[in-house]
Amino acid sequence: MNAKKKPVYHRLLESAQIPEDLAEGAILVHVTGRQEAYIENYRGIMEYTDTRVMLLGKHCRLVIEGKHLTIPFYTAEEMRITGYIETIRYL
Amino acid sequence: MFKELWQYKKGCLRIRVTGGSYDRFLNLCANHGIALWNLEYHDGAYEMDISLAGFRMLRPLAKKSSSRVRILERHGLPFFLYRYRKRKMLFFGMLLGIILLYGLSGFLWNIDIEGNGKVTDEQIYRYLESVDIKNGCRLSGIDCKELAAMLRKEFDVFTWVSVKQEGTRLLVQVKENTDVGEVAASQQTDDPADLVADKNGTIVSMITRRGVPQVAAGAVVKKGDLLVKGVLEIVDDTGEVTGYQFCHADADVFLKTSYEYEDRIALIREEKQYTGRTMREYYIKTGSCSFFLPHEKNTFASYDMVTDINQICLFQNYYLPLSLGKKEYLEYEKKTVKLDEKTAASEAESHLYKFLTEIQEKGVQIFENNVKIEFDERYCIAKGSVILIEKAGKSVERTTAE
Repeated sequence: MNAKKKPVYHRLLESAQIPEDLAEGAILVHVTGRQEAYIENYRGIMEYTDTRVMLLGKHCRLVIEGKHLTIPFYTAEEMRITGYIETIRYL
Repeated sequence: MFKELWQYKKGCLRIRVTGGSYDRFLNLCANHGIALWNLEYHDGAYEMDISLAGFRMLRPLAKKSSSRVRILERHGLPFFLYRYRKRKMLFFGMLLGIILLYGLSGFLWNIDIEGNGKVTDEQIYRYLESVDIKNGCRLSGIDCKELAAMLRKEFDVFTWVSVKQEGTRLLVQVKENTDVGEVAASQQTDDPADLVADKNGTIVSMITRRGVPQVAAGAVVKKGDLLVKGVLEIVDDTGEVTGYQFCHADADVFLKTSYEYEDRIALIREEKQYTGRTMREYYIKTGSCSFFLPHEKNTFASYDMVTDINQICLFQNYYLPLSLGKKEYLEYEKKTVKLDEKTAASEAESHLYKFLTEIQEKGVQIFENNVKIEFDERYCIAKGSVILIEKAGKSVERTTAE
């Protein structure tokens, strides 16, 4: 896409070099191997079982599937998921 | 570690959430700033850890999400205090313990000495005791800098002394002068003195630094004979003595001396044979009092006793005036053993080798070794003379010119 065709708001954010997760409220996922995922910027949990965790973001939903999934830490800002992660999908 | 301590202080619970819309429950918790951890899913129910403060805010949230909350486990200080609230003496004991620990931390309970070889620990302890530094004295009365200076002054052999106070421990680190010659030189004075023989022998070599030599290499001297005279005669042109100049006689005199070596090893002797039966006693020692834990009575006829004492130390350096002791009794039986000649001879040889090594370490050379091993009915006898070359001479103060 041509830069000139982007909305002014986007161009402003780009020139100010503000990270996307702050500007857009994008969900932030750090994955370490397939044992651990560290997630920030989510709205809440939609589903949680030991094989599937679904999180609600601002623009999308994040689904983590695997086995023996546990949440060692959970607050409004950040959470950690450990276990055997098989897939990470966006819906 | 710090986080766990903080959690213990604040108290935490393990809860089980069932029924209703659990996702709403989790989101409500997050939105109300209630931290959850170790969230696990078990058979349609959710188990999680929550802080005590968070749990107190949980009732309206559980009602809103129509879920049921059950407590599974309670951990932490608030629950401990509540559970034992009626045991007043427990809290009194804990308080007393803390006060006692605080009180005892003002006194010295352990003295460690490192780096000494020639000067024994006992000598240093005795000196420290003479300046009122011993277990049980107040730490505030110890001036480490001054004590280090005093130790350097008291023991000439120390070239470096450091005194550190760590917790209730006093750490004395020393370095000794290993060069013997240097010590002798440092102790040398200018007082007039002669050098006399301190043993019988034949002079092998003689290097005089100060004074007038009275004997030469090859001369046979007896103990007490004058080797170097500490008086220089001043003569005039006619050869008459007009005066004397006194000096501290100094020379390296090496004497060939004979040492009669004799060592007897009994061929028939009683040896301890341990039966393998042992007994242990445990006790707590404070000061000169020992409190034994209940134990069975020692019934061994003959035994060796091994004592092991460990002073109780909190953290790294907080020593307490309490020691845990263990006494172990090892039973043995005396058995008569007859040595064969070969074993006895090798034992005699090893004794001789040890003796020769020890004297060589003192700087003595071995010139000749005439020790022979013989046997009689009861003993193996290693006997003979060892010819040594050793440094001789001692200073004797001179008061007159003659």
